[in-house]
Amino acid sequence: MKDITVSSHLKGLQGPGPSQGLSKPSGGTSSTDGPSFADTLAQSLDKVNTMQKEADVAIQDFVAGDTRNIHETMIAVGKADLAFRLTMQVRNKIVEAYQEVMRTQV
Amino acid sequence: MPLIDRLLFSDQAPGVMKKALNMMSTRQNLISSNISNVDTPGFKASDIDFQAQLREALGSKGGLSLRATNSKHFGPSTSSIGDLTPDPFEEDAAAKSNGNNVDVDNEMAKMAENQIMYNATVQLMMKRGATVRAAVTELPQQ
Repeated sequence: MKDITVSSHLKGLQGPGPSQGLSKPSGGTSSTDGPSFADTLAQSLDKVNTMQKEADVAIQDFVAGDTRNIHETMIAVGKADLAFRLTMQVRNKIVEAYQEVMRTQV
Repeated sequence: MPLIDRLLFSDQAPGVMKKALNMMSTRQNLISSNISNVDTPGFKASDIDFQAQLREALGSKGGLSLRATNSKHFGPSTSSIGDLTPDPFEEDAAAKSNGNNVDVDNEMAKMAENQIMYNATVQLMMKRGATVRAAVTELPQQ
């Protein structure tokens, strides 16, 4: 399956950040610590993509007789499938949260 | 639906699976023909080694593969997996007094192995299809 340039699209999600007028909560830790949410999301999507590619390689190795491990092939495919479904549900939740925020009356 | 077709049937991995299923079905026919002819005088058992053919088409690990970037290029191409045909060869087991060289035990073992491989490949294909189906329907199961 083709690689999608997730990171480039996610950069748009980050936007310009909070406007200058809003002051950050004082005393709290700086929000620049650690990877951002978008980076984490992009990393997990990359991981899922890698898993699917690994599953495809495992399938080809099995079918061409390079490996005799039926179980490892099945596990690789099952893992990729589950990871993909999890990602899809996370996506659904994110879209739901976004819509909830957009519905909120200010 | 070219996209769905590519994802399920004509991409690299599904293409290999499809070809392998065809080959395994042919091999099952060959093996059952061998077993049927266990008493036919002069019959020679035949078999196919589709995994070697697939390995060759996929390119051995670490080797360099040629890529056709122009329609006038010839030689090994990545699409050769679809063009593979079963290549039966006669087994070189010692013949019995009537010229027949079918070894029933050997054939049964090959048949069992072939069947397991076939079932496993079908299951892999279904598992892979389930992922695409999940993306389309968003159903939690199946």
